[in-house]
Amino acid sequence: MKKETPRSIPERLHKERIRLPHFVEEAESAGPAMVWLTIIVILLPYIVFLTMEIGARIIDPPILPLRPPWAPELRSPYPPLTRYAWTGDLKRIARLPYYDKLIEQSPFLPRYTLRITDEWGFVNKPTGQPPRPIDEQHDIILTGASYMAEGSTIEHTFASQLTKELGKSVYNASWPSGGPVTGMIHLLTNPQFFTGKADLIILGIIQRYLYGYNFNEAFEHIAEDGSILPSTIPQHPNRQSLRDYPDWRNTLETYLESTSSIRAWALKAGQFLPPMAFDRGINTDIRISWLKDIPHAPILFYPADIASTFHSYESREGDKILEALIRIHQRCQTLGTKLLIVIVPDKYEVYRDHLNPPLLPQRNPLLHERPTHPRRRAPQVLVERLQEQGIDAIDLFPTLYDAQFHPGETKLLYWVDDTHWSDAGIAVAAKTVGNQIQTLYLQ
Amino acid sequence: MVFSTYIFLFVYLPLTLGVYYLLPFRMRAFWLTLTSYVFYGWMRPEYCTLLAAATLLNYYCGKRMVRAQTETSRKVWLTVAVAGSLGLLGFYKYAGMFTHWADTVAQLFVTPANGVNVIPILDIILPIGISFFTFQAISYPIDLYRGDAEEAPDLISFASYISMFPQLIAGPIVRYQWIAEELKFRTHTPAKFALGLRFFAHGLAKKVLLADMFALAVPLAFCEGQPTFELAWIGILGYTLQIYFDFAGYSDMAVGLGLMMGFTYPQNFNSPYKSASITEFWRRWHITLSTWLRDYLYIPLGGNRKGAARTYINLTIVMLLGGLWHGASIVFMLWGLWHGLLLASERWLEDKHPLKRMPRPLAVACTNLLVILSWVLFRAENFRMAGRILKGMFLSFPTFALGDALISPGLLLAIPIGMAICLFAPNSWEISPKQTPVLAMRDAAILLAAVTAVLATASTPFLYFQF
Repeated sequence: MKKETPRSIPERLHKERIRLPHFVEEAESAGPAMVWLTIIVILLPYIVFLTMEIGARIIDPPILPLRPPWAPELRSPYPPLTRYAWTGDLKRIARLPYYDKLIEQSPFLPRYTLRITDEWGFVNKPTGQPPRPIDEQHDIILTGASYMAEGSTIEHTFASQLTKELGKSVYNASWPSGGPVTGMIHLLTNPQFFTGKADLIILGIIQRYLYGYNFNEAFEHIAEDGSILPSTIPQHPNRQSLRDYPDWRNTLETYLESTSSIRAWALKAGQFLPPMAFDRGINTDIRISWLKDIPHAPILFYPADIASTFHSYESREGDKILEALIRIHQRCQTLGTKLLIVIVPDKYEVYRDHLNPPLLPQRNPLLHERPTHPRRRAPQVLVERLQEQGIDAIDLFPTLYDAQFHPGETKLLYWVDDTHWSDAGIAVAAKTVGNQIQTLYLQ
Repeated sequence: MVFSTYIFLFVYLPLTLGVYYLLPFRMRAFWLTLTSYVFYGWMRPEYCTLLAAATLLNYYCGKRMVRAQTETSRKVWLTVAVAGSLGLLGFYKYAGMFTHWADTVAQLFVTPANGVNVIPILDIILPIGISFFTFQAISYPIDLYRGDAEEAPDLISFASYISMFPQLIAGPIVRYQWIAEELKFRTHTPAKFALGLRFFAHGLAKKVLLADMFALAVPLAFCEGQPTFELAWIGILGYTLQIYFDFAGYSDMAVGLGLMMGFTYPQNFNSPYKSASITEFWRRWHITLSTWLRDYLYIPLGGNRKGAARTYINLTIVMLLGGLWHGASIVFMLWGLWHGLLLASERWLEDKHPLKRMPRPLAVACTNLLVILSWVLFRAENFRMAGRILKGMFLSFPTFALGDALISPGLLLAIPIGMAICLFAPNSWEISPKQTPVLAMRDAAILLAAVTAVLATASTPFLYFQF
């Protein structure tokens, strides 16, 4: 057996590695003209691309969509007065032509969401007038995150459906990209936007957001007695500035991509390239499963969302959530506004009995989360605790769970290629919430 | 930052390289360090401190070690440097796992007061590439101690060595002694640049056109409940191809970028799926890691110099730790153990080993099967999942139907083609470095397709995507 000694390593390693310089020598033997030709030929398409990218931005600088000059300098979830199509998560994360075909055959038509924003940058029909405080025209304000904000069209948002149910106009002040109370805090801390004269504020929260750390914003902005902490009223301007967005690097990347002059061309050419999974060094573990009794329904889940449904009230710091909501409620009472809290279940909770094969939660290796099996759903416990405190709250889980068994219900209540609820789900939920509002406040 | 993104290809890279070529040589190390820190800290700037800590620790320990008068103090400085780097790696990579284990054990005896855990679990987000740059950093004091390398000339060039963006986050693991000379002086020739372009184009294409495509097959086996025979095999073959093209593609890009800046990095992959034994596989797969483990772990443990039994034990220990290096979990350790035992068995039986007695094509097939089995463990997050895949692969009957699986015929066809590429095609190091107009046009087409794929990967149509 050959003996190895540490001393002999460098020479051997040098031999192991020697191939590359040798390689370079061979490449250099081609002569300078050929080498330069190679560089130019390989780089030519890239240089054309780069020149087009830089040139297009110099000729027509597509700075971030600016606010109209009359708009006050407030943050907004979207740039005001825009309309554009948006796709479900799955279409966004993968280039999957065959999946598109499947979806087209599916009766559960997912969608391009057509999103329209008003003068304030929220998902509402524009009024065509300079923005005025929203409570001048609306008695009921809806806020929350993406669940509350979006529908396939402006007529199908939760706010529009609720308007139909109640016969009263509901303003959609939901903040899609934020946390569960981002929209609420924006509402309570910006007197130009909301003076505090509404009859009712509805705060919708999705089950998977019910973790104590998601409610820090409430503690940062609202004191124990329900007063607004002075230092935190946002004063930073937003115009032409990337800094206002908390994650400016992400925003910059997305901005550059979305304003790219060659991207439209690349998207067309991309059809001829092999499909690919989305990968940017981010773990986007997805699961596509089939609904047992419903044909043509491949349905998308995220393991982290599934795991969240197994977390108990205590493990989510439920009392911290309760305390945050109590502060918000106190603020609303001071303003003379009623508050209704609506908890929305996740897709997995509603459809887990239909899954074939069944999905079980996994531990998230990054967070070391351990799913436990709570005897009662955390939202149910939270709703009870809120009611004990005299705060009106509804858990939509029973409504949506039962709705899937309605004899007339042929549509899925959640999008198959996205985690959000579909127009059908929104309609069912709006009916329940509408009835509840009628009995609680209007009769 | 990731290579296959718009911001890297169209903003970071032209700026970095453009300024690099305009600067005089002595400024280039500084520029390289600066841009590498931007590259590393793009998403999480706070983790740049880890990079700086590893740099300062190893640089100063190295300095003190060279100036030390006695052997004891040399050893002390070596220990400080190695222990410090390993401590950094240990804390950021393994603290979560160990607290989790401790909590699991504690819960057997104590009911948690808060209903969740007895021992608080440390939730640390793994700093990207920490395994790579700590290993790279450790090589410096050891090389110095062994007299295999000279002291780094100054802090900036040492910092540029640790942080060099081409290979910072996914290898190859470059040892200090390998590029010590190039840090002091290196040439920047058009030939190197042209070769670098070719490596980069091929690497990017491997990553975005091949690896990301095969990635689509993986969830068929790994994200469902019990996969069928077909889905289990499609999923694991997809993963086998994905991990190779992803990793080899990244290494090619790193080598290419290095060449564009005058550095010559070592080869990291040499067609590993052509191996006819596990020993050969480890000479071809992630070569810079396996040689690192050999020289800085296996040989200090005694290597094969302490008798046959110790050799087998050493091999197993090294591979077990190698598994742990890949990820903080028991499945990675088991993956390492599997490879360690296979290596030890080959060492033990030598020519009598079944793989050695088979005709080469059969031996290659059997080796690949053993490797594929190990990838089941590597990809599965837990034993239950690994068990389901293995059950699908070996304990169920083919149904000759894909059922409701979401798989395109194109992808089905791509898997055997991908396997054929791995088994028969020359790798990037075997392709002739000759330059001809036809080859240049081929590489231009490859780069164009890869860049188009990066641009065409759907991201958001607008500013927001964290719904």
